[in-house]
Amino acid sequence: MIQIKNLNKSFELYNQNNTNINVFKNINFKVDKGEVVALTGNSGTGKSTLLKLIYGSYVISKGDVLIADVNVRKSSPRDILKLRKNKLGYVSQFLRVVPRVPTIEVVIEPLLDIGCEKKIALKKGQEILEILKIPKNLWNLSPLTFSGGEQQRVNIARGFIHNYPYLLLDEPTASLDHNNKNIVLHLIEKAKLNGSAIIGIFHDEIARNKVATREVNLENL
Amino acid sequence: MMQDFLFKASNISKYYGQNVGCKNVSLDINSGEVLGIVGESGSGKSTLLNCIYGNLKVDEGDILLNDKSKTILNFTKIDEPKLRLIQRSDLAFVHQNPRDGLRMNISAGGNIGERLMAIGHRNYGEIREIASSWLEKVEIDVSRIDDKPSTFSGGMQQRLQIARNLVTKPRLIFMDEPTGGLDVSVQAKILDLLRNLVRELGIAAIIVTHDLAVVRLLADRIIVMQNGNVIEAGLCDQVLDDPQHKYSQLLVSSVLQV
Amino acid sequence: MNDMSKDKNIDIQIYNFAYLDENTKRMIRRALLKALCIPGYQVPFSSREMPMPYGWGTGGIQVTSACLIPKDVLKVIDQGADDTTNAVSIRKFFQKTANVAVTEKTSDASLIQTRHRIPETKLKEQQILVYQVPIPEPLRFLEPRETETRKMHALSEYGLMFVKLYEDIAKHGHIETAYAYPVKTNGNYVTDPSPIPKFDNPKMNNNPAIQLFGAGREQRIYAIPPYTNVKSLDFEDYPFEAMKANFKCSICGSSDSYLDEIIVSDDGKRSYICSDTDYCKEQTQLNSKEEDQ
Ligand SMILES: Nc1ncnc2c1ncn2[C@@H]1O[C@H](COP(=O)(O)OP(=O)(O)OP(=O)(O)O)[C@@H](O)[C@H]1O
Ligand SMILES: Nc1ncnc2c1ncn2[C@@H]1O[C@H](COP(=O)(O)OP(=O)(O)OP(=O)(O)O)[C@@H](O)[C@H]1O
Ligand SMILES: [Mg+2]
Ligand SMILES: [Mg+2]
Ligand SMILES: [Zn+2]
Repeated sequence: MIQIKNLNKSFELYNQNNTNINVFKNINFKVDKGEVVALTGNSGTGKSTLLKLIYGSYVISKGDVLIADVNVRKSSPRDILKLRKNKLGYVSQFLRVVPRVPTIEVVIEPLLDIGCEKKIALKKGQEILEILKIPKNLWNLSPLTFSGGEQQRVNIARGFIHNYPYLLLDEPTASLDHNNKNIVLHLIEKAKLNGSAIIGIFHDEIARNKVATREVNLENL
Repeated sequence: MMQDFLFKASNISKYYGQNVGCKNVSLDINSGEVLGIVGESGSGKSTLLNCIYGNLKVDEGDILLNDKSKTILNFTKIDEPKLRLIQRSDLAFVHQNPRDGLRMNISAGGNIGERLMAIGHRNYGEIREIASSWLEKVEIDVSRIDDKPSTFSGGMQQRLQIARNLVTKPRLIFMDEPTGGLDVSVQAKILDLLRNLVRELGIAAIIVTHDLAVVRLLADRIIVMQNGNVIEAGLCDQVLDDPQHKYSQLLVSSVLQV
Repeated sequence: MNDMSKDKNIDIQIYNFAYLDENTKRMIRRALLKALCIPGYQVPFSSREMPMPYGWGTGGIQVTSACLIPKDVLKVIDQGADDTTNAVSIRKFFQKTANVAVTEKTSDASLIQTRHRIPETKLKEQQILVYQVPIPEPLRFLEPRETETRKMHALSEYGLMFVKLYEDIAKHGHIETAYAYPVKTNGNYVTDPSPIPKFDNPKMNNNPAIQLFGAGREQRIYAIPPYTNVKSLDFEDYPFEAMKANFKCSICGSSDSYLDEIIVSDDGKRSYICSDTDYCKEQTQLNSKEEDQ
């Protein structure tokens, strides 16, 4: 279960006239196993910020994020890394990879990080790339020169190659065509049935309605 | 559990006369981890790195290494022979300028072989084979094995330096701007190489760099230094994406998107 | 004859026995004793000005001076020969200053000072072989910093020494180093054998004689005590080989002694003769005896 308790986030920008940006206050909600919670709200309400707080990329100003028995605010960097490696997946909008590394290697990295044998990891990587319809002739190229949609699918492949019990998805279908969108929604559906607790941001209402079990609107909180 | 760490430096201070080199710095690292040290020029990064490697004598602090036999050694207390032995077996140091880390008048193969011969390898054919395989790993054409590094490009020299340092599989590698001054595609090669080595060999690395894109791709955790002090430390993406200290914010905002 | 002995008497009054004063000799002997205790270790000593330039073996001469006693029989060779300028001068020097007996016969000598060779005739217990050494530090050309080389010796960091041999094989397909081929003494210190041909290296091993090394300009003394293990450095797959020109001496016919190449005619015709003149003479005599019988 992911539990958000009285979560506050503000940014103090020292070098910009000490501007203080209050993103949100007192957010509370829970996400159970097998749930897909969709975050909604206008642009700038802090949807992506919330995901990054859960993932540990942003510092929590006040309140708590609990993932199973881990309190993110109180965890050391090492504990967060361990959590990310084993349990907490995150699909961002942007692909960030070492240049020149082939797509297949990028995709299987999460498996190698948890000590999976390379042969098995490669097999799983090929499977997921096939599911996501990335043409075979691209597998050994760096994804940095791919189209936006292809890059996003590589990101998704990385996020779904391991069965993370907790998943954070930041607009996973944003730049995908109809067919590819459905493939990704199907992957999310499968993860949900598998018992993952998922929080996602879906701008596309149809997509959202297809997979979300619940909505949390950040403006109403 | 206490003894799980690989390397730990606590309260390290180093003064150059009146000047502060670094002050009260603590850090620790486990096997398979990469720690980044960032900060502006003159902030004490190289000083800190040389102190904890044992090259510079510290004025205060302890440097502990959990050696292969699980004995904890304190660099500030052991004698020089022991320290040098550790430096060439457990540790490695990659210099910013490959000229400082290579023997320029000795062939590439000899450069890689030196550390092997130093730990007792006495079979020419074997040494050469290992040297060749490392040249391959760092993507230097094996036909260059008998050429001197002075005939290599800067990027090749740097890769050769890395090969020379990693051939004996040290457990902790210190790097001072390993990709500084290299063009982007060469940098990428080296980054990829390092990441794989960290994962495959389980080695740990402490990397000084001013290139935030490099730390982002390589480091698990980073520390930010200013005027010899650590002003912020933490998860790499957290420090880069949501820096808490005024100076870290400045540092992050002064570069284009990383 | 009379004049000579008269001269000698005068010289002996002018010079202390064997030229150096007793205190200096004592200082050198202390260094020698330490050197013998730590085989291969380079002991610093304060080298004296000698009445000849550096490069003439001033280190070896000081060691000889410190070791000589009146009943010694001295032999001096340069590249194996007793009759070269250098050897003749040093021999004369000690005749004049110490009035010791001299010989060219290896087996008759109690102390042999040598430049760049070890005699072919096997040495015995009670004999002392004194080497003249130009550069005592085998790591010098690889690592110019003395502070660093001293540490390398102290910590047995000899990887670099092997790098030199590695480079040889990489470049020439075999170990090209032919002179001053480094050895490991008593399994411990890597030592420069002075510029003897590597053909002579095996003679250093387990030798019954005392081997002393003096480097005057560099102010270093080192030693190999009798019956010490001396191993030439090598690789398992490129073992050390004591090499010589594959010819026979054109004087004595010997095929197992180290040969010098000489040009015998204007059109560049070459010939090979023993570098050890005493050995060559001995072999020639043996041959003629055999012929007589
Ligand atoms: N690292 C940061 N430093 C400073 N301000 C930030 C940072 N990240 C986000 N913000 C601010 O927090 C607010 C929320 O941003 P966020 O990206 O979470 O919005 P969002 O709801 O995801 O919007 P969108 O739907 O457009 O993606 C914005 O005002 C943004 O400027
Ligand atoms: N040998 C020295 N003697 C005196 N001061 C020194 C010495 N070495 C470094 N310093 C000073 O210590 C401070 C830290 O220097 P250091 O080289 O560690 O910085 P750095 O962070 O590595 O900088 P850069 O990014 O430019 O390499 C500087 O003020 C420097 O001038
Ligand atoms: Mg967003
Ligand atoms: Mg520096
Ligand atoms: Zn002869």
